[in-house]
Amino acid sequence: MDHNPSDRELLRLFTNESTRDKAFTDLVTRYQERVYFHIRRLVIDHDDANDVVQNTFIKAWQGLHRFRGDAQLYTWLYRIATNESLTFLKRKKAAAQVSYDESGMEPVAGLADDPLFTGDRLQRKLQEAIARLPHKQKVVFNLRYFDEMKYEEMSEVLETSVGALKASYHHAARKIEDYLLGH
Amino acid sequence: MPPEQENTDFKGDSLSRVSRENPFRVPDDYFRQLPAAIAGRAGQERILRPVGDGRRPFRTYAAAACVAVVMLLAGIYASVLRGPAHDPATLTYEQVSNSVYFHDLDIFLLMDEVARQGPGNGDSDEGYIEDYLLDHSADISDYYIEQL
Repeated sequence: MDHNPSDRELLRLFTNESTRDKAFTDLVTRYQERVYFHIRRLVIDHDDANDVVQNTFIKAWQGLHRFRGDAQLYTWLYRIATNESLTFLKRKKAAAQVSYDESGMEPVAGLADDPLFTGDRLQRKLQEAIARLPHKQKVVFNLRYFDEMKYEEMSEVLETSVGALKASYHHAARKIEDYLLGH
Repeated sequence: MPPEQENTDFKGDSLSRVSRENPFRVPDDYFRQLPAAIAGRAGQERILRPVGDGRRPFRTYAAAACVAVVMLLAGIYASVLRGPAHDPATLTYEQVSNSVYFHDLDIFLLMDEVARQGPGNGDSDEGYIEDYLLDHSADISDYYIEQL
């Protein structure tokens, strides 16, 4: 096998029973960090992110044979990861029976004591500001600011028009700027 | 980020001062162990649900048909109960929240209605509406363009 098969080649190998496991492990290895940190920025806690990233790749495993290839593989994975993360957050909020929306701070409240968060004070304030955004706006901001994803690719992930995404990012960045100025 | 894209994004002074370095860390060897953990779960999934066999049992189609019939009957029932259409300009907050005409409403009307009668604060209402619209693949460009 090629040492660095393309996504298309991985998909082809996945359809073959004898090479499926190896192809899937290669796919996970290739995209795990990007997908994990996308999830982590949404759910904040590592243990939660670990659960969600595993669920994401299991969903990919279940759906990969139906993947048609008209989107890029990694934007498809990002879409699953985003949906899994938002679903997780809603379930967690419902289970805790508290509203994050009023303060938006609950998931980031423990960052100061989290040994797996090494950001400085400004980075923590940025996470607090992001936590106050509506969920989808949070995703838009993270994909653009941290992952530096093109709007066209974000449009594939979120199934939203490029114009709406640009406007949403602008709105998010304004809110974050206001929060940083006020804190 | 390509320069032509970087110039178009808003970035305030405060945001510019924040380091872009990833502040999140993972336990040692986490990414070396994760593929095996996922492969293990995928192996369990394969036992429970074979990948890509492509065949759907008769029961699946029968269940889908039953759901379709129930939804059709529910739709007919709802249309009978609904009665004559309302003028969107006179809808109350509750009617807006529950309305089957939600997709037909003008976003500005909806914002005004929520601001006037809604129980929450501006940011929460706005977030709720944006999430709803994005969830339903709506194009909110017009709304945001108005806001900028």
